[in-house]
Amino acid sequence: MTAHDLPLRPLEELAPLIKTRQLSPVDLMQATLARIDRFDGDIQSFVCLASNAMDQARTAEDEITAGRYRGPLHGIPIAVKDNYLTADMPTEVGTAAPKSFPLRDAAAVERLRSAGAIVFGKTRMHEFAWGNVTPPTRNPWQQDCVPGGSSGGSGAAVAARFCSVALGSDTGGSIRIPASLCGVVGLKPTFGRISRDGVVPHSWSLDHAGPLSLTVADSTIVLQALSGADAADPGTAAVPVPDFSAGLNKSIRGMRVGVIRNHFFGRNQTDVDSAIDAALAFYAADGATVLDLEMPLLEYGLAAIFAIELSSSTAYHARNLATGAVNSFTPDVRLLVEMGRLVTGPDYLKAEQLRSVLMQDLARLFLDVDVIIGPTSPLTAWPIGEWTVEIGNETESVLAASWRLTYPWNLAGLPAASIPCGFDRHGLPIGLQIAAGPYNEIAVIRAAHAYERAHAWKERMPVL
Amino acid sequence: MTNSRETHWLRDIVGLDVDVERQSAVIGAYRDILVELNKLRALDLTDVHPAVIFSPIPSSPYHEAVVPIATPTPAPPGEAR
Repeated sequence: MTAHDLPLRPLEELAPLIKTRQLSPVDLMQATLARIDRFDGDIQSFVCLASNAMDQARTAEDEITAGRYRGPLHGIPIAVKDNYLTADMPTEVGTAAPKSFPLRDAAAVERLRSAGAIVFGKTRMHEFAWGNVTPPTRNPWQQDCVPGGSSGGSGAAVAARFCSVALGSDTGGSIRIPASLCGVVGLKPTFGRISRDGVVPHSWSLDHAGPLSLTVADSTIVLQALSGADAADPGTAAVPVPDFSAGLNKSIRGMRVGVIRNHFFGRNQTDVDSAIDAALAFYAADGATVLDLEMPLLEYGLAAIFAIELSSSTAYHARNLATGAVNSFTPDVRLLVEMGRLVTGPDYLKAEQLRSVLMQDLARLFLDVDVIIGPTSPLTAWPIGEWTVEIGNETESVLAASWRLTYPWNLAGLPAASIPCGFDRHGLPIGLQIAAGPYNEIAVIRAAHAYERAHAWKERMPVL
Repeated sequence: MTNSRETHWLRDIVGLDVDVERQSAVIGAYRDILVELNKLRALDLTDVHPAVIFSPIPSSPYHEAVVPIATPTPAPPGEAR
């Protein structure tokens, strides 16, 4: 492996080399910054690089040389979405509107630093996490296409091999949609698994923190480092943190795979459906039992997430509405923040009632299956500037379509990952979504890793 | 376009203090969401407890930055400003 190749490899390959001192964190950081300098002028995935990145790398190297190796994140460059507060970089949240966020580390950033990671940059996001386009970031696979969002910078940065891991946040699909559109892994854990302290809120009961990465093992390592209760985030749960690596390198023989046939199918691009069918055939051939399921209440899910997300976001932005700062938001985000005023209290609580029923229904389904699998997004990355898409005979808003298959798992707060499962006829990545019951990330990891090991999608990389 | 009754309703009851043209844009965009919300409103969930858990124990320390947002005093309902 030459210095030039270093950033191209996943964390799971880099960590053992750093541990055994075959790879210097300083060389890795240098190669990372050189690659970003060379290619991010086009991709535009970063909004800020830490001025102390090389100092952090030298500190990591000194510690490891002195025999104080902290674990698999030690000396690994990791980027974070620009809604995670950082002590050494400003937080802009994708907006040009006036704001003043404190210079301090979010809980997840603190944990990364404690594990020895080099938090070296902030990735671009759709303004206030309210959208799935992330302008002006480009999709590394086809630079005239969007990377998805709202963690679009994180998805593009990992896909472009600027880093093996970047943190994102997911309120209705904002980790999994860019992961799907950019051909990388994205893991939204169970609500309550990772602290959101210091992550600028979007919708308190829907927001999740989590990683985007090159491989399933990479996300597993980061999940391990970030998990655990935190008094500063009342949403975190005091539940035991298992060894998530128990899900890696396991057979899926005997695993029960559910497929919700309504809602998740019937309105997808044909190439997406074909890729998912092939993935389901893999699970069946490899010894899993595949079971078709129905969940009629998903018909009401869009209303529920709109009611909760709009009203929560508007409550958060009360000050920005009152001071007129909202007038400086981009038109699409300003409209959403203003619209939240129209959601009534009964609508909001009815949405929370629906959530209760959805969670109960899913709990019943998860008695019969270990994971539920389907597409992450009904469509692949769409051209920048395009706002509608033809799926079958229907014309649909790309914004409405792109989160249709991800938001159910935010409403239910259940763990869900997107992993690459092929490419469409235009060479754009397709994502496979795997979800499981509450706090059962190990089942997601087991099913995801088994699929990843049996396919070579992760070895493909975009030509920049 | 919104009329003056809608203007008062949005400003005084809903608290959306924007100009008339802006109100039309917000209401127009909201109509699509209302279609979905109307489906939810028609669903009988009477006996379902919402997914909201209340606890009388503070979950986080009192935040000293909790201060009133400085906003103009709203005009009484029906009174134009």
